[in-house]
Amino acid sequence: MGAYFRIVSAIARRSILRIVRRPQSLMPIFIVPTVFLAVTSGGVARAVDLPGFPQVDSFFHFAIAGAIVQSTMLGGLMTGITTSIDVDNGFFDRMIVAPVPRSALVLGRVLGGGAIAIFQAALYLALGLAFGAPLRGGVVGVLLIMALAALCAASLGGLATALALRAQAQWVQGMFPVIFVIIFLSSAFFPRELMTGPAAAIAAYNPISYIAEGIREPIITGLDLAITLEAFGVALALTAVTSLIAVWALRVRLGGAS
Amino acid sequence: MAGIIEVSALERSFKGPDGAPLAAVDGVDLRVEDGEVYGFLGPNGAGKTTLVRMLVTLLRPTAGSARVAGHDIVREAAAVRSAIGVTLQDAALDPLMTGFELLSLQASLHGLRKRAAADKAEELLERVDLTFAGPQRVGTYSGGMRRRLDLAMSLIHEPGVLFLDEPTTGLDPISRKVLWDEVRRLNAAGTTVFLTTQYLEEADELADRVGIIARGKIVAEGTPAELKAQAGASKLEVTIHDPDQLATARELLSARRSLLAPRSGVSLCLRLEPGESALAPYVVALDQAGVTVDRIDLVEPSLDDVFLMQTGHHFPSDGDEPAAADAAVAE
Repeated sequence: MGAYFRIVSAIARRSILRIVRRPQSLMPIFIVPTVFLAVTSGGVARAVDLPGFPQVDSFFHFAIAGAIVQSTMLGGLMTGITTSIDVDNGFFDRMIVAPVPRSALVLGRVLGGGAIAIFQAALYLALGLAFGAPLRGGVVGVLLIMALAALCAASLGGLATALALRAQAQWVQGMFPVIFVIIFLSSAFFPRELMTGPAAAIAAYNPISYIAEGIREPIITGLDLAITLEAFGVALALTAVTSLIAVWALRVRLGGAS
Repeated sequence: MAGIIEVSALERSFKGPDGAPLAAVDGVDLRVEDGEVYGFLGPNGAGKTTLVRMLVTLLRPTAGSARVAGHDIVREAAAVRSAIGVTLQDAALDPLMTGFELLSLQASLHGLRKRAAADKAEELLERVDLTFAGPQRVGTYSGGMRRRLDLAMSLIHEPGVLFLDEPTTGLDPISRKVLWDEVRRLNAAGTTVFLTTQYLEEADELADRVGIIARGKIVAEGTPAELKAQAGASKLEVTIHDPDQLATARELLSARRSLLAPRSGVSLCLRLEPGESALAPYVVALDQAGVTVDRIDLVEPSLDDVFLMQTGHHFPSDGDEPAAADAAVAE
């Protein structure tokens, strides 16, 4: 078991090292959510006056969780894009011909993406603090947010890795707009309590809603055990399912060779 | 006693451009003995890489079977991977990492702890003469340095069988020589080497035995000397000083031996009798006829002659188009 986690850790370290060496690759996953956060916070600032809207000083404080989810989901996509690059240039084959458990190859990449997400969440929380976000959950809340952000990136990372292993690179990049659709059909930027009709139904079945709410609660309200458990349950299940899909994709890619 | 690599009726097909199956490897049988350097020679698209990818467990065969180091490549793939080292075509390295980091990563993948992995990385950098470049990013390496690092990565676990897929393609002559020396050194230390190449000279220089593959099938196999013997007798290449004397020379020589099409820059080429190696009679005859000769060479049969004999055409040069099967593998 120790050897297994040494392999996972070595692969995760490489994912982090690539980002440290090419920090500009993180720009899109910060710029897009930050611009979106700025635009929505200015454009729909008065949404906080709607009856039933959670008690917040500004829409910006409410939307930080959405930005974290958006950024970490895009970060998860980066995991898939890196896998595509490795597949295209043959580096992935070099890793595969080592006597490494297939699940470790996938898990290392997914967890590497998760570790980078902790840094992403920290940046958005720092931005929130700079603009007066209360962070009512305190240190425990911050740690919970970081853990959820990591799982959010890991779950998307699993899916994107599976896509990278079964399809060409442009399919992975093609997920970019799909992520936006998934986010807008969740409660990442609008409370579920105020949604009606199909939007409410879709958001209720959208797992991203629960992760976003789990991240938002420690920022604007404080710690809520039920919401936290719900968020972690969904995020862990999603990460497990997408990681298993990625392992399956790798096995299929190798024609069933174990 | 079983060979260290045993391949039986191995096949791999891909979907061709018209949707019909296209056999990249078509019923290959071969056996490599422990400690041998086996040269697998063929032009682009012949099926070399497809065969290697099956033997190193990256690709599942469509039919047939193979055992490497005593393990079935499909049912015991993990055991095969533990026993082999692999250097694939186009040194697959991450340009953002340093040589040391890549070797350490590879050592970790083979289960070494952090300290042991670092020690192994240092040792291998020294072995391939890259200690000076260890802290540099691979993106700054020359082609030869990348190949040497790639080779070092395949030696992390001191494998008993080493697969080298076109290890010197694209390298300059000096880098090629350095790599050849390393292959010889590894083989002398007991490593079995399965080497694919599209260079006749490389197979001739390094391999104990050579298998020639064309269109997915092995068309000839044996030691380089055996294969050349199959190709027949030596040739005599004559370069005449004065083109006006060419007709005289042709008439004189054709009366003695059958003429072959000369290669560019050579005036006449004749096939000698098996075992014939004396030039003097031809030199004397031409001299007595008043023909001035610039150059006269005895040319031993080459693997190209073997290829020509088996396939009906010369061994393609570097720039030739890869065959459809190769394109399918690339996808």
